[in-house]
Amino acid sequence: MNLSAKTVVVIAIGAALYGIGGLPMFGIPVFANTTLKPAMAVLALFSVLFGPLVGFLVGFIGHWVTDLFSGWGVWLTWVLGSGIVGLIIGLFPKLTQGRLEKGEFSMKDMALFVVLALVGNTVGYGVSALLDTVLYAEPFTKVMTQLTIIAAGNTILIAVVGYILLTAFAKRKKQSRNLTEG
Amino acid sequence: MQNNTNSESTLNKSAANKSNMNKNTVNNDIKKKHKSSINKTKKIDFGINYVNTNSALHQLNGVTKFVLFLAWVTVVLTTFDLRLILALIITGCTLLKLTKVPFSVYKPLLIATASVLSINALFMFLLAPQQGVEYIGSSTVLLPLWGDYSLTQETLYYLLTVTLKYFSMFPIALVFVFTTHPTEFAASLNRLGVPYKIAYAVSLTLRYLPDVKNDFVNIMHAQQARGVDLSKNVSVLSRIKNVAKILGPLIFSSLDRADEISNAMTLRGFGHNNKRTWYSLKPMTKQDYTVMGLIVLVVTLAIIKRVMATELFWYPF
Repeated sequence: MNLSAKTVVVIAIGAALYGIGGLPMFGIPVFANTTLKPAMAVLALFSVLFGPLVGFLVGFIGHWVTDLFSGWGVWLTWVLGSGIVGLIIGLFPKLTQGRLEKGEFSMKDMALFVVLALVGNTVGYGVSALLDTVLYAEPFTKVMTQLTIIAAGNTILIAVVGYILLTAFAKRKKQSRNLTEG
Repeated sequence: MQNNTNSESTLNKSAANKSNMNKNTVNNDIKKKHKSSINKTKKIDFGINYVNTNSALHQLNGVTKFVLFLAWVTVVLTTFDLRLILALIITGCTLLKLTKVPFSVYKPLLIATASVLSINALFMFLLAPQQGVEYIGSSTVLLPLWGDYSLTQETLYYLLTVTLKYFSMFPIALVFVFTTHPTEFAASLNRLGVPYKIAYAVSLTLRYLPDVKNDFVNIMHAQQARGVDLSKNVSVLSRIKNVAKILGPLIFSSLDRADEISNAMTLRGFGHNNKRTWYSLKPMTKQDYTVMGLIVLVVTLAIIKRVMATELFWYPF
């Protein structure tokens, strides 16, 4: 695997941010046993900025490390789910041909971002939910209810926070590009 | 969530904690942790850490402990046999005892995990009250209730098995974190075939967790002082928007920091070679091989048992 030092550090910092943003006291409780975590927005942003591989590893390592070091046991199925969410949202730079890096963030790109967030959460945590029914014999209706709430909640959180952050990021990039264009 | 008064007292307390930092024996540390878990500082404590008590488990190689952890996960995931699950929990708690880490360190975690698992079990019952009957194939009503919600012996048994199955992961995760130094953890990952850049990313993650946490708390306090409300007093949507006001500065400053770190690493030649050695990698001892042999045996037996078994749940009644 040929990762640059920069990628390694970005994965590490992203995973640490994901870990902090996933702590229960920073979450917004919306339903019993389900909180909206700022971590999801961190994961979405790092995936959008650095692509699928970084997205997957930020989700996977970040979730694994939070679970391990917060001491409530490792819930492997959901660790894998977070990785897949990052992987799918990480398709964004490929699909938009890196427009964000050039400081462009149109409403069309925003729509794509929301769709990717929804698909990512549904597929990623869908895998977790299915694995839970197989590996932990959880009732199908229960995991489906959990999945619906999580996917919907996460998508709204990612959309709102992502919109604000990506607009700010595009503006920042545009400012540094004006020099070469002028 | 914290409101402004709350965070003020947290600040004071963490300052007080810092001034006490000088006396630094393990026991003192642990006591302080316990103390802080009672007051509000707990809210921003990040879970558990490596505690060096020099127990027999600390002597074992990180590779062995990581293999034990993976083997544990494999066995837990493949079994629905209550006897095996109970054996795992007892072994896990014995190992936890062997780490010589005082119970008070992980007591709050135990309570938190137990309550999360109970709520989980409650939801499983509320959304699928007859799941146990379906799996086990008989129905003994203990307490007739309205509709589908009659409490059956099978459902109770099923909920108990699944909840304990989840719980059996709890002690081993603690044992692993308490006894394995973070850099040795990264070295072990590499030794087991994970590419060294990924292993190094894991190690860096652990290194920067406390720093990033401090940044997060500082930015949160700064924004709260400017009137950004994260408490229940505002609607969910504005809370989400306010989260963005914290994450923005946090992520952008972290990206700048990532630049600095990666420049420093490049200057020191990180990633130049295909292989990397680890200072903290210990050689394997005879004990390690004995434990490894035992692990392989148990995992093989567990898998054979799963393949041979005719029904998923072991149900004696």
